[in-house]
Amino acid sequence: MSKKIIFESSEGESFEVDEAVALECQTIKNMIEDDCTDGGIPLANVNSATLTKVIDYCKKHVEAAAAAEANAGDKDIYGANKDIELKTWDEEFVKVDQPLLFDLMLAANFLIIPGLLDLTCKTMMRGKTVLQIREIFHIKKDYTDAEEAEVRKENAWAFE
Amino acid sequence: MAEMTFLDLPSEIQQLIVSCVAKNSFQDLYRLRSTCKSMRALADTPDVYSSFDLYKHPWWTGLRNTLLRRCYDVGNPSTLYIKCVEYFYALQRHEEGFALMKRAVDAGYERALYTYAMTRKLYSDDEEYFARFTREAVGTIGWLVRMDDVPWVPVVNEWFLTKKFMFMSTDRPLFYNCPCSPTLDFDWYLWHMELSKTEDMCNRCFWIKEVGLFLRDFCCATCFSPFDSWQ
Repeated sequence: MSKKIIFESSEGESFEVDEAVALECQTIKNMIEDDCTDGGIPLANVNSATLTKVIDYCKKHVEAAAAAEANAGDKDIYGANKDIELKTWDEEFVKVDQPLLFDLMLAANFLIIPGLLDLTCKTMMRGKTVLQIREIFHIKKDYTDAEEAEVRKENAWAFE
Repeated sequence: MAEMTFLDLPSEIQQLIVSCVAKNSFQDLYRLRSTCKSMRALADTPDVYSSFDLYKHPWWTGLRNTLLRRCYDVGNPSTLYIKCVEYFYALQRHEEGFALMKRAVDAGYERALYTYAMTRKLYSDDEEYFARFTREAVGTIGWLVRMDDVPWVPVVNEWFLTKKFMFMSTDRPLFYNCPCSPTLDFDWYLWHMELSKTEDMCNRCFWIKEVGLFLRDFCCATCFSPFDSWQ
């Protein structure tokens, strides 16, 4: 039976996961290697909802890697076979509201999960207008109207 | 749940997000860049310029060449690829182009790996890199490399044409004489190098077909940027 690792969310809720799943997080991997995971790992800056999603992501990617290994004959350097299914899953996975997406990105950064970090970062801005970005991320416009018009003009095609 | 305040994030995370956006979509990046001055500053860093894939920049804007120089200066892999293709296939500076292509492969640029595999086959009859692809993967990346919608021009130099004629006279008959799988109908007039067989063709035929498609469709840059003066 595989070793279990216990995460503790910011609300104090415990989550038990297989070690293989926890190893997806570079930060936790380092802790496991240093043998300092006894008694659970408190994640004071990751709430339960986010942690649940993070664990889902790691589980799925561990399973996908295992499946790819089992079909090693079909494997290629881009992992094209597993990619199609996994990419679709990833796309569905990030269909969440913006606050959760933002928290997922921060958690991925803290736990060092490069795939999740990349996925959340690129999804966050995808297809949004300038006004939407400002509103969602509380970015205050500090351009004058003339300056903004100038910046937009540099790549006008992107705003069409 | 903490309120999302992008600008309160540590600067390295902000930079990371902007670089990820840059890698994925020019359009998203330029919109983000227009939100405020600090986003513009983050979008104009070398880190971002090295993340771009110039093939994702719409060629019809006419701005790609301006970007090319700046990206090239920060070692962007896609510019390395543009340069190697130009050296090898347009200017016929084979040794330099071949070495550059390997650098683009080592930098992890997908298109470069496919083109490098094909170039190794044509240049030194070395099929070593074919083993790095599955049929599905080569189908996807091969189509991308050969059929990109950029206004590039077919390679017409003597070396490439010689390779093409040699292929027509030596490899193509092997393809059609191999009994591995049924040959599909093809139109000689429309596709002078059509290579059609059912998908269960043998490995040798599969790669003959792939090399044939490369020889038929591969195109080269039209910009001829003065790379030599950019050292």
